Amino acid sequence: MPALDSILDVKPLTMPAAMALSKAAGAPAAARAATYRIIKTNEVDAYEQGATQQETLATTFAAAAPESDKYTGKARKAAKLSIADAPVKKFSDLKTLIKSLPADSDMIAHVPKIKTTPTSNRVKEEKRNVRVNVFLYAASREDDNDFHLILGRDPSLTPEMYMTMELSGLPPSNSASFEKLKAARDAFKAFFGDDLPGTRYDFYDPPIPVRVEGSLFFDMSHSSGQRPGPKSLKSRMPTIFEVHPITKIVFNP
Amino acid sequence: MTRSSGKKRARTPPPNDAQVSPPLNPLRTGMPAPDSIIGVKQIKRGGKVYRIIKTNEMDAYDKPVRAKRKRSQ
Repeated sequence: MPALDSILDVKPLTMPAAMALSKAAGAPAAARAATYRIIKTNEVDAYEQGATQQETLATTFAAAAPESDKYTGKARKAAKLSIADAPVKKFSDLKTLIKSLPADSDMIAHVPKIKTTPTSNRVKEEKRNVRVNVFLYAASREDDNDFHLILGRDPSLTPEMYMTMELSGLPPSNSASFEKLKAARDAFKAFFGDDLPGTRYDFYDPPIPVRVEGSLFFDMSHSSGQRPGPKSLKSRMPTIFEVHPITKIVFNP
Repeated sequence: MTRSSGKKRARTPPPNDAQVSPPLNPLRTGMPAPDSIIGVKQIKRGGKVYRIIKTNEMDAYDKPVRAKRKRSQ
């Protein structure tokens, strides 16, 4: 069977033509009545649409080229680079924070509709700042220079639960949010030094305790199709709400 | 030229405590799928030791970075 996190969809297989043929061929009734399920996964041959294993290994520990910190994305840029004008609400557990969020389906059906254009700014539900004690399980760096952090509950707690929180690429230096976003990003870079993640996810063993502060953001761009997150944890990421941008991160608080 | 078979090989010194690392526990909460792991590196931060587990996992909507080929003029 495929890994649980790789499963996209399950459909019963109906093959009237094949069943008719097997009947004609004299197959036993029990065999003709057999049912199958097609389990759609996101697994592909490793050589498809990407680097080969050898290329991957060669580049895994290669020195990272200097990269820009500038935000280069477009979708909902106004919201992603702004900090909500609201007090900070503290949460000691990610589960409580996630429980306090509106359902994704409500946000997708939001009135007025949440657009994904660069000028799309925060809607009412995103005008919230939060602070939460969590653990850093994994991180990657996106093409737009955001760092995707996958943060979860204390590893000793059940159920497992994870959420994406992003250290945004930086806005222009004259932006109101620049200093806070840069300070948060610098704290992350200082902790990892030369061991920053690349476009593929790094996982951390054991998960690293952190305290994160930032504004809530609904990732409307991924409200359909593939959701964000590494394959190994995605099934336990119950929302596409994010903390985005992170305005403060403290390691080992 | 062939190497002398009688030559003694240099022995690898025994690892000290800092080098000893327990094997990865794939059942630990939040671990990546074993077949996604492409490398492991140990780091020390604030007196604590962590392992960075490099994987081939990406956000499913992202395209892997491919090595750029030089364009012929």
